[in-house]
Amino acid sequence: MPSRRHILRAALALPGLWLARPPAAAQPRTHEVGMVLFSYQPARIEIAAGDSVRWTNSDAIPHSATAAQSDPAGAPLFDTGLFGKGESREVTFPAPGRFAYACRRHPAMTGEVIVR
Amino acid sequence: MLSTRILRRTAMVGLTAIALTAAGPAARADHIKTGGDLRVAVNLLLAEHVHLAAAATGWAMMGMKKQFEAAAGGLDANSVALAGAIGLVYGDGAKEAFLPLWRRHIGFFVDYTTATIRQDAAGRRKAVDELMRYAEDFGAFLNAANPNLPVEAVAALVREHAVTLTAAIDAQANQDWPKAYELQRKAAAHMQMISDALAGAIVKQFPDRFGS
Repeated sequence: MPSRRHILRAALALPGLWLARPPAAAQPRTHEVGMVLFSYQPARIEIAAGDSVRWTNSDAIPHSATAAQSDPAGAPLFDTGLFGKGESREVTFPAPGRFAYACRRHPAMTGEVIVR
Repeated sequence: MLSTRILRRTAMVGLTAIALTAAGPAARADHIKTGGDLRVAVNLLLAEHVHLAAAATGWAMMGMKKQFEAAAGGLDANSVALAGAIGLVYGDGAKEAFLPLWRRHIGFFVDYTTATIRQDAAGRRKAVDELMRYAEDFGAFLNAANPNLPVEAVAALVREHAVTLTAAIDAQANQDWPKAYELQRKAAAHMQMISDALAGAIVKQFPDRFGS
């Protein structure tokens, strides 16, 4: 059975423990990128690992956000596929890196996601 | 015959474009104060586009490399000037997005010309299909810049541009020069429909800037 002194010590220690605890990991965020007039806005975005990017198309033609880099099987590291006006697609980036991407249909439309 | 690589590279990059851009007609903010000024500037640039494109394809058909390169350089300078005009109205972002989009359709005309020289029916069909698909892209671009320009209306005008200019290229391929020039003039006249629609829509969008 714990003595009164032990209980008191534990009670006094608890707030200290709470204060010493590392800050809770930041909640993942979702960053917005517009597809406007055949360009990504912003074209370059920096995010934290675990965050997501949501692309929304405002043009009256389908666009995609398709990674320039491929996986070992040759598939793009991410690809929203083509989607139309008023629609959105979201991709989560779990690990740091630089990810250049472009629209499948309009290769001159380019952007970059930098994951810190 | 010129190789496909030379045709594409020259038409798309236009080695002499920078010099020609500096010397040639270009839309300048201090020249465009009214809707009429805008209409004249866009008309000039789009008609010039057809004549320079036809010059380039005509020289290519005859295998005249130096002449072709000079015409392709002029054509690219015209593209840069057109992008500059778009930039004057809609800003640098629109200018940067417009230029590669516009150059793309020139690439498809180059593909059509190359396929015609090679008598490659499948290549010709593919180039026409790309041009038809491109028409939607261009319609969507102008619609995004200016909602007064419906996507389908612009796309129809661009499809007509593809039809009129490929007809002129076919006449060049057949060495039927009177017909080639007749169709070239028809293709250039058709561009006025695009430029009038474009200029009118811009005036409607910015009446305070161009409305007088």
